[in-house]
Amino acid sequence: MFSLSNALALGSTTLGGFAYDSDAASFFSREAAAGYTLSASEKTAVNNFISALKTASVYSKIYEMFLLIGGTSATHALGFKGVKDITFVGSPTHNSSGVTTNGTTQYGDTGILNSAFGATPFIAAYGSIPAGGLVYLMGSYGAGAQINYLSTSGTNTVIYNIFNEDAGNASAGTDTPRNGFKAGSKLTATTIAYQGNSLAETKTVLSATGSPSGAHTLPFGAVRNQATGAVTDFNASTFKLVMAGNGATAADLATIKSATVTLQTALGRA
Amino acid sequence: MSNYIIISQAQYDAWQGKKVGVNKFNAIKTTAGSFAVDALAKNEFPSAFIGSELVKDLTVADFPILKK
Repeated sequence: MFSLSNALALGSTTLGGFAYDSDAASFFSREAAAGYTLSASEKTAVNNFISALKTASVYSKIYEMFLLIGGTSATHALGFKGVKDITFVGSPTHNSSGVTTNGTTQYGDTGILNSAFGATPFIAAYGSIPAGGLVYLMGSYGAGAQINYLSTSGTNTVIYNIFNEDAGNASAGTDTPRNGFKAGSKLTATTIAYQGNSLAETKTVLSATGSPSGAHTLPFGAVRNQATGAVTDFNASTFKLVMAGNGATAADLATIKSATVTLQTALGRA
Repeated sequence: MSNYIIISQAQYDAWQGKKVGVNKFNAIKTTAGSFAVDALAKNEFPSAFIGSELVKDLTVADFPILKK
C-alpha cells in the first residue's frame, strides 16, 4: 500500500520534491551567478544552518551575514540576505577555507553602515586567529561607534569586546580554543553578552556615550575609527563567517555558535 | 612574510582606492617610504601594473603601526 506518509517521505528525499529554504535557495542562485555551484552536501549544510537560525527565531535579528563560501572574491563578497555585499580591500587571499587577510594592507568592508545598528547591536565571527598578542578581529571604535570591536588579547584567548569604549571597557573571560567562534551582543546600555567556543558570559559596563554616526562602514580583518574613517589594527586572520545584527540575546548567541560550528564542520573547515 | 609589489607614486595616485568589481586597490606606504601592495593585486588589477615593478618579501615590521 502506498500511503500518503510514504509519499511525503519519498517526496522530501527520493523524488526530488525536497525544497531548500527559500532564502538558502536564493543564496545558491547568487553563488552560481558569481561562478560557484554548491555541492549537494554544501547546500544541505547551509540549508540546515538557516533552518536552525529560523527555528530559534534568530534569523530575523541578523542584519547581514557572509558565509564566505565558493573560494573567490566574487562568491565571498555575497551577503546571504542580499542586503550588503563585501568589498575586499587590498586583495586578500580567497580559497575554500574562506578569506585570509595579511595583517598589513587587507581587510573586508561589509558595507554595513554604523547607522544600520540599533541600540542593541551584535557582531560575530568564526575563523582562525593569529597566535599571540592583541587581535582586533572586526568592528569599530571611537566617537559615534555604536557597534564596537571584537577582539582577542594577549597569548590567551580572552574575548575583549567593548561596546561602550568611551564610558568603560569590559573584557570577558578566557575562551578556548583561541580560534573558532567569537561574538558579542549589547543587551542593554550597560550589559554585554559574550559567546565564544567555551565561554558564555554577561558583563555590566558603564553607560554608552554619544549617538552612533552613520558615516562609515563595518570592517573585518581590521577595525575602523568611526570618527575619522581610518582603518587600523590590521590582522592576519582567516575568516569563515562574519555576521552582524540587532537584538541578539545571550541564548541567541549560543544558538548562532552551535549552528555555525555545525555548518563549518559540515563544510570541512571547523 | 608575504610578497608585495612596490609601485610608484604615480601608480599609487592613479589606483589607490579604485574599485573593480568587489575588489578595491589598497597600497600602504612602508616605513622605508615606498608604496607596497599585496602581490595578489596583480590578478585583480592587471592594468595597474606596467610589468617591471620590484617584488619584495615584507613583514608587518616594514609597515607603519596603525593602532587605535
